[in-house]
Amino acid sequence: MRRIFAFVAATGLAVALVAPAVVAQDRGSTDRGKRIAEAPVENVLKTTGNTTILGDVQRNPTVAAGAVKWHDGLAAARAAAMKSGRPVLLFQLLGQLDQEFC
Amino acid sequence: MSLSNPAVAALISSRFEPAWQNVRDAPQVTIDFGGGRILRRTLHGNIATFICAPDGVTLDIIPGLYDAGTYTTRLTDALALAAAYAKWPEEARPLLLRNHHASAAQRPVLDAATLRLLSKSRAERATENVLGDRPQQAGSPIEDRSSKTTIEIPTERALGSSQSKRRAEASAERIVVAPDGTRVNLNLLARDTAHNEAVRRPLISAILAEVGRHTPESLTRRIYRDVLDADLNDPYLGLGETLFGAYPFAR
Repeated sequence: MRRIFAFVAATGLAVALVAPAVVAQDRGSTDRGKRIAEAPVENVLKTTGNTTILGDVQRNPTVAAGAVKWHDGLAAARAAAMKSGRPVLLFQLLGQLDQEFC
Repeated sequence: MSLSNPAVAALISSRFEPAWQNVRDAPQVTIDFGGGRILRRTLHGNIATFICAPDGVTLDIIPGLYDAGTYTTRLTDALALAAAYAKWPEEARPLLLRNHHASAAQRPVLDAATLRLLSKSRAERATENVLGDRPQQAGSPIEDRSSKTTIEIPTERALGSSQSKRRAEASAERIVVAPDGTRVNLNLLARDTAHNEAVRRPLISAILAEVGRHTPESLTRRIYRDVLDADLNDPYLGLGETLFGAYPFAR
């Protein structure tokens, strides 16, 4: 009986001493596991930069911007239009026409 | 994209003074499936083609993605308008241009074929179609670089495919590969074209019929917000409700 009491007491003491260290380590960990609810998407987006993208995905290769002979910007196209009399075609987009991912 | 079509590119290069412009960065989605399988693509790739006179005035705007044939027709129409504009007396140009667009805004653009396509145009694209544009071999390092090689899709299509009936409709794809390797889903492109012609073009005409000197600089944010459903002033491009509205743990 005395042995059992001593074992329980020792176990309790060990838990009491080790637990704060485990909690402190856990707070500093980036992997919070499944024990908490997932963070809202907007928080993920706010705190997630491009640095989280892994491997080859970081590369953003240049691609051909279609088969059109583009002027170097709207101002250049306007200047050319003043000389040629042709209308300006301004192709607007979200992103870069000459990059794979933009 | 129509810009990869040799005939369209030749028309643009020979008859216009072309330039392209980034109005903001495109949103991207990256899905890491594990095992080196990472899919990445851009979303909400809305575009607009402004046709301007040499004096800087916007003559017309072609909103969104078009099939090459219809895009060519719109470009040819714009050339005719530009030729007419050049012949108009300078002082009468603003009024004549407004009248042109006022009548265009009232002109019906819906024919039977467009109506049939439009009835399906709001069908959201099934997730498996978003993910499955390019078959991939198991065991190889995989990265789906489909952003510029297929037609970009609005975010709501990528996120919102919940109805199996619509999924069945949207999954009927007709993929063609252009000479430069561009993969185009003709069914989606036809629906986008129909939507642009039936819904967005009249909105464009109504805006250009308003009084004022319309330049790309003065029109861009309004066109993207009111016509292309992409508010450039909003960091989430007006998609906040779609992205976060149903999230149960949102704060």
